[in-house]
Amino acid sequence: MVLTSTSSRSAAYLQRSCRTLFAARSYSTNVVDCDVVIVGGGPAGLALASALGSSSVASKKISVTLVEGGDLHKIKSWNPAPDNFSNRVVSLTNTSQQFLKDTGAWSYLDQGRTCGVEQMQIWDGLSDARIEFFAEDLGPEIRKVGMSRLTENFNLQRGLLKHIENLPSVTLLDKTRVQSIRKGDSTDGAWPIVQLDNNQTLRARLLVGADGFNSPVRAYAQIPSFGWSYDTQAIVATMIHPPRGAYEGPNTTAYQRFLATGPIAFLPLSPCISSLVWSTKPALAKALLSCDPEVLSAMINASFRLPHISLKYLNSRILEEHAAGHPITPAKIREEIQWREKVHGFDQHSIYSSANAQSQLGVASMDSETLPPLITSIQPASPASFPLRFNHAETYLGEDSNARVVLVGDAAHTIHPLAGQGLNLGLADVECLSKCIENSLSSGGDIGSYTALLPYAQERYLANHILMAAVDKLHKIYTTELEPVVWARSTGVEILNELDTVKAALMMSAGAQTGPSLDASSAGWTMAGNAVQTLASASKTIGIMGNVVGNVLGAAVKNLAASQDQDTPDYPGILPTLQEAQTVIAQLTDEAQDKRESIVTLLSHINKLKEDIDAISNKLLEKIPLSTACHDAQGELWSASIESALIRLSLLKAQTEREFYNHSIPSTEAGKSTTKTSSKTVNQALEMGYGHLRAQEADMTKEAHQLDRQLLEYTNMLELVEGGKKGAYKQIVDDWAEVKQGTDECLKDLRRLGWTGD
Amino acid sequence: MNPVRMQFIRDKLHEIAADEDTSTSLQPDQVLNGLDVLDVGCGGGLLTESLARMNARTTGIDASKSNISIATLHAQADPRLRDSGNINYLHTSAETLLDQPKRYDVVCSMEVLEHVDNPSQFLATCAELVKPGGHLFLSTISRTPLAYALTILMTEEILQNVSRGTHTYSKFVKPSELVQFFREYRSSSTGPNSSSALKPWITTPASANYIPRTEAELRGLIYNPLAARWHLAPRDAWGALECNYIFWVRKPKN
Ligand SMILES: Cc1cc2nc3c(=O)[nH]c(=O)nc-3n(C[C@H](O)[C@H](O)[C@H](O)COP(=O)(O)OP(=O)(O)OC[C@H]3O[C@@H](n4cnc5c(N)ncnc54)[C@H](O)[C@@H]3O)c2cc1C
Ligand SMILES: C[S@@+](CC[C@H](N)C(=O)[O-])C[C@H]1O[C@@H](n2cnc3c(N)ncnc32)[C@H](O)[C@@H]1O
Repeated sequence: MVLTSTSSRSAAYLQRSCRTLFAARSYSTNVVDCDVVIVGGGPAGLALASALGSSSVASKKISVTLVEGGDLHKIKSWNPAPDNFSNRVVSLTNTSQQFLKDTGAWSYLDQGRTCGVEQMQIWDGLSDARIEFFAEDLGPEIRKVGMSRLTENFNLQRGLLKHIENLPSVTLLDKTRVQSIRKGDSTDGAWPIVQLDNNQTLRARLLVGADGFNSPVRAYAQIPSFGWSYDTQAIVATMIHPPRGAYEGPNTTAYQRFLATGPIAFLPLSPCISSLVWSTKPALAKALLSCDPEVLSAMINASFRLPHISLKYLNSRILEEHAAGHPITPAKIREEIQWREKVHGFDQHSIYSSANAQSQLGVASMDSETLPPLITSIQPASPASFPLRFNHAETYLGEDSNARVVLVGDAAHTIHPLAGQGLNLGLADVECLSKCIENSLSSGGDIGSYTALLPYAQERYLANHILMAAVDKLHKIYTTELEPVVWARSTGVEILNELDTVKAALMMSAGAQTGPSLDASSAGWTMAGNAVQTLASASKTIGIMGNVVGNVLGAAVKNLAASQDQDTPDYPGILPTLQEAQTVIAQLTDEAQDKRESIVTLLSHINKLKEDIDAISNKLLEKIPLSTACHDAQGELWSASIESALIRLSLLKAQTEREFYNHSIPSTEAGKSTTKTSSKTVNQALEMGYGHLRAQEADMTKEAHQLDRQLLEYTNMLELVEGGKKGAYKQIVDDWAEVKQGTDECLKDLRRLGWTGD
Repeated sequence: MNPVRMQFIRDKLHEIAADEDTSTSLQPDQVLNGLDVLDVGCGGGLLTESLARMNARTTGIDASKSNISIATLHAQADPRLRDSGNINYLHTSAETLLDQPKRYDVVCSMEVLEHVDNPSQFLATCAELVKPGGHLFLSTISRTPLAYALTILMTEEILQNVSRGTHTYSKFVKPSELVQFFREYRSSSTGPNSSSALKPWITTPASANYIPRTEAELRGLIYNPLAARWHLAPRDAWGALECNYIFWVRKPKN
């Protein structure tokens, strides 16, 4: 590798490693021919350079030039004190680590600055529904290495730079920005021409955009991307805390609590130091970062411990004070927190109490591992914040006149960090792309050609999209302020199921140590995405049920009123009972009405979500020819949602039945001797209502059957089209598709070559 | 379809090289290094370029002048190809090239056979251009109803994508006909005391439904529209030879 910063030196090196074209070709300056030009020296770009430079096939046949605007020397000579940690930390899955081991880069990371995650604790801030998982559950191999490994971005980047240093086919140009990119002359193959701000010009056989979210390369290739910014900022910081006690496990547990404002995560780095990723509302992030760091640490401790309602209050206090122009003081916030803890009845010595923050207890309480250690301080200057967004390029390859461009990492996709997958996706891209390049090289391909790059896009686009959609949906479900979702969450049941699928997804990502790992983990993420959809459909069911409950109770009350008129003179003792029953029922009706209303809002929200998702998948369908496996997965997804909707339906039915009986008992008992008629009337009304319910259920079952039939038809059709069953229809469709695509491909090649077909 | 054709060529050559020298450390991607390779009917030069990138000394010939200029321009745009000197285009026909003494380690002719008027003569010409012990690779379309429906009816008549008359059904050569040709074919002249002149290229009798792996191989080329990719059918895949297929045969050594 050649690391150069000044333009004269780099020009000299470049001439050595690449060939130069002179002005005769209508360029005003020297144009240097390069095989692979990578724009961006972030983790993804560096990992690609290190993979290509260390590949026995690629390093012999192609040169790699990486252009980075920032100062890579600084990163390479980064040498922090052992107890000082950078605020940017990533969790690398075993798959990512394996890739870095395969290229040889991993051994250049300072292993002392990495931390294997042996346990994860994830819980819901509203319901306290919790899941925990342990590396040892994933088998002996994972037990040894952990579910994933946390390290600083800088440690990874520095390791990659040290690895690249020994790779002669790689040239690094840092402190150099890409100024513009244009298309070369068509007589000269129209290869992309990259203009650098040091007056150098590179002509690229393959131009790789590893240039992050704002990717200039993506803009050049006119690749649209779709996405939205979450109304969320991620606060990062390096947190200092006492070591775990003698009776506790080591600091190797990652914690994440889903708060209504976004998830807060605690990522262990060393026995006394951990990293914070706290996604929250931008205003709150701003207010918190303008306070004394002690306020931040107090709020971190509180956010892992206090109930939702208190956090809401504390947040509003912080915002108020901030708006008034005087950030809240550490003393004030501590006082507020302690008051809140008292209100909630936290024992001073329990792990929930922040009074423990300053004192170091020798003996751990029983459940101390369910919470992260209390933060005592924040490493100076470490707090910072980043806006969070969802973004996915519509394609990873430049086409036609923008050919020879490929996107990797955040340039192709940006996601919410709640699952710690952003860079892991980027590294999976890099691994796939470098394999794809090697394959092409080993059969004499032109690595810039569409044909050579297509397998990369096909493999990565769908896999990334599945995970991205799952993570996006999770974020939306957990941060919505909409009452029904919050209500659904507070019941805990739904959320546990959901967390379970998140768990499965994470486990599969984590467990994917070897083999066809991508399939396993994306199956997990499909499940997670699916579960969220199931929640949505369950809420819809609740909506319908709510409606029924409302009607039934309405009818019951009407009947009661009627019977009251008739019965009062004859049975004077009945009145209080009836009145009582009436209040209960009125209450129930109100509740039902409330639920119904909120469910209607939820429905519209969910429909919006669904529309978004549908729009995305339609776009996806256009871009990516679906594989058989994907069709199958979709079929399964359908049947799974129908099935679970039915299960939930019966659960709801059972619950409703119970409610009815519970509420009919007092009035029946009270009126046993005196109010036969009224209790009869109530029962009749209830029976009637129950009948409605039954009818509704029958309708829904019918609907479900219909869906089942549709699904079956769909599956049969797919089978016809995709094989399995041999048949004339399949043959025709196959043949037609084959011919059409074959001709298209052929024509494209021919047109590209200007061949007329003689 | 180019990556699949290249993969077949590379792997077959490697397989034979490994057969002949079991101790060879030659990697599949080095197997074309320094070989003299001829691409007959190179068209725009897709295959020719790949062969040259694999470090073969490649000559691409085509009977069409415009194709040769397009191919030349295209290769010129690639600095590595240009500087390697591995690629050489000639505007000539296979028949004319035969007048020159030069013979080749590998002769390829992809998607040409179905366009020529006299397939036997064309095959004989290609065969003559191969050095003794060298290799001939052909790819073409079979004369089956399926091939007819796919290639002529659909592309020319229904989709009207290819100018009419590009393919003529009667010109399609069946795999069995190719095999039969090389059972009967004898090289005309390879020197005074050449025994290869007498040896057939494929030695099993027509009655045997079997071709020795070291003499010839037939593989289907199948397009999967869902994956938008061509792939090589496995050996002996049933029905795979119905349409596009690739064929390899080896000239007997002296
Ligand atoms: C708070 C937070 C927590 C995260 N946690 C995790 C986690 O736990 N696990 C995980 O896998 N991921 C995580 N991520 C995501 C991860 O950080 C990103 O996916 C990753 O940094 C992307 O790397 P990249 O190389 O693709 O892009 P970047 O790191 O953005 O690099 C792009 C590079 O391109 C350079 N560049 C841009 N334009 C030009 C130009 N014109 N000329 C020259 N150079 C240019 C930039 O200087 C930059 O160095 C997290 C993200 C955030 C915000
Ligand atoms: C369908 S194209 C094949 C292009 C290329 N081989 C490929 O597969 O990409 C057929 C080409 O064969 C050429 N051709 C036909 N007969 C020939 C002959 N006898 N000698 C040389 N070229 C011939 C034609 O000019 C035409 O360009």
